[in-house]
Parts: sequence; C-alpha cells; structure tokens
Amino acid sequence: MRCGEVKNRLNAYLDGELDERSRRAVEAHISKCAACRETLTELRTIAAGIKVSMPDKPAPEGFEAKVMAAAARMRREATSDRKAEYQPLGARRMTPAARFAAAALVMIGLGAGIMMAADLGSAGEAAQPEEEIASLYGLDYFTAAPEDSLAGAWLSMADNAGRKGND
Amino acid sequence: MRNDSELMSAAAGGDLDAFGELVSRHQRTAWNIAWRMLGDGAEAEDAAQEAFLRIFQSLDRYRPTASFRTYLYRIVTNICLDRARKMNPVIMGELPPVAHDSPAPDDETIGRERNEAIHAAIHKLPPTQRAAIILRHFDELSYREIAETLDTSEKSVEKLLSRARKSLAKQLAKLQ
Repeated sequence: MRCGEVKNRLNAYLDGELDERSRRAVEAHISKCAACRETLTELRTIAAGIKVSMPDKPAPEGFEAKVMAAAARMRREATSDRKAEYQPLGARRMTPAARFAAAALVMIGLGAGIMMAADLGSAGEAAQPEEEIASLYGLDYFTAAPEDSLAGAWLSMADNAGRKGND
Repeated sequence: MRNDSELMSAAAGGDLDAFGELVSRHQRTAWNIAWRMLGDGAEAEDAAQEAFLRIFQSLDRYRPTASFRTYLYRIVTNICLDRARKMNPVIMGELPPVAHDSPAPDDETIGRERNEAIHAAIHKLPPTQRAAIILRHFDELSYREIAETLDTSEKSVEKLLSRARKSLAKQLAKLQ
C-alpha cells in the first residue's frame, strides 16, 4: 500500500473497522513509514483527548418525572379527543339562534322548490320567475341540466306534473 | 427483568409504567448525546425529553426491526441535529492564548484547559461531523451503527470522522 492509500484508511484502522486483510496491509506499511506512523499517533492523541473532554453526566434531577408527566398528559388528551370525535349529533346542543337559522334555511329551500315546480308547469310565465330564482340563489352559474341526467329527469317529471295540473 | 422490546410492547398496550422503565433505563444515554451535541444544558434537557415523547407518541408504530438502542440514538440525534442547525454556534470562548509571563500552570489546569479547548473545538464542527465524533468516541458506536443513526453509508461515516478529526487537530495545534 502507498502512503496516500494508507492515510485514507487510518481512521478506519484506528476505529477497528478494517477487515483482516486491509488491517495487515496498513500495519505492514506503518512499520516501515515514519510519516504515516506520525499521522496515526496524532489521530490517537486526538481520540484520547476527545474521550476525556466531556465526561459522562447523569441526567438532570427530575428528568424522568417531567417526561412521565408529559406522557400522562398526552394520553389524557388523546383519550378526551377520541370521546369528542364520536359524539352523536343528538348530544350536541344548539343555541336557540342556531335552531332558528337552521329552520329558516329549511323553509327557504322548501319554498324555492315549490315555486320552481309551479313555475315549470306554467309555460308562459316560466322564464321570468325562474330567472329571478336562479339569480337569487346563484343558480345562473349552472348550465341547464342535460336531458339524460338525474336533474334533467326530475325537471322533466316536474314539467309533466305541471302540465297535468293545467289540463 | 423485561428487555427493551418487551417494555415497548407493554407500553404500546397502555402500560405507562413500562414506558417509565424505558425512560429510567435510557435517560442518561439520551441526555449525554444531547448535551454533547448542543452544549446548552436547558436546550439539551428539552431535546432529550422531546426524544422520549416522540417515542411515546409513536408506540403503536414501533416495530422491533432494529434494537431500541438504535431507535433511541436515531431519534435523539436527529432532534439534536435539527436544533444544532438552528442554533447559533455555542461560543465556548476563544482557545486560551499562550501566556509567557504567568507562572507555569499545574497539570490539573493544563488538563482542564485542554478539555475546554477540545469541547469548544467539537462545538465548532458542522453538526453532522459533531454527531459522528460524539457517537464514535463517547457512545462507541460502530460505523454501521453510526450510518444507521445518521441515515447514511459507512463510507460517509469514515469521511465525516476523517474531516472532523483533521479540524480538531488544527484547532488544538494552536494550543501548543
């Protein structure tokens, strides 16, 4: 082995990480090469110095207790989160204002549906109220329902019901 | 006495005492990696605690494909690497100048100053080189174990150690 090769492997040699064959090759070279021997001595000095520079210390007092307190808290929070997640709808309390708003929305929806169905049956007057309703509820952003769609079928049924009513 | 894997399984099943046993067993290891990496005691305590709490939060996902020790090293080291990269370098003080007129220091003083200098020099290393030095010299992990901890190759570990040791040698040469 040449000096360059050996110097590249001296760290692994120092750390006992070379295979048997490489280790013997490095040792054979070092026995004859003062420069590489000196480099190895420097590495050993650094290693010895590092080892004593920061001696092992015990963990701070109360370390374990702090970790366990935090773990117990996490477990409690996880348990109460799971309970809240599965709370059935009926158990939720609505304020009177929320109940009124929900009821109002249902009434508006029903009213709009009835008006739309009635207007669809009356051909001459269909256009204006329909346009007003569509605009009011932003339905003018939607294109007309294709005939073979569910919406198209519903409209067709409503249309037929209206015609029958007018007959 | 239950081994680490048995304690982890018990903890995953809800046995908080089993987790406490793991903390008790490995707190010193976690704490020493953290303070050697970070230098600051409060930061190190925080990092070591965070490591155990991350382990606690992922109990149900733990699979004993590697030893618990390797798992712990990996989590603690990665938390410390993240924090070290965000921290400003800990200023441990300049290397002590050579005093020509003062009385010759005794061996104890020389030893303490040298240790402080090495400590300071280690903290000036880039975080990954610092981690490799700490895991090799203090925890005596093999190249393979260091590679697993740092999620890199054994060849990279050899290079990290080589560069770190060269930097340390240069820093310490100023002492002489």
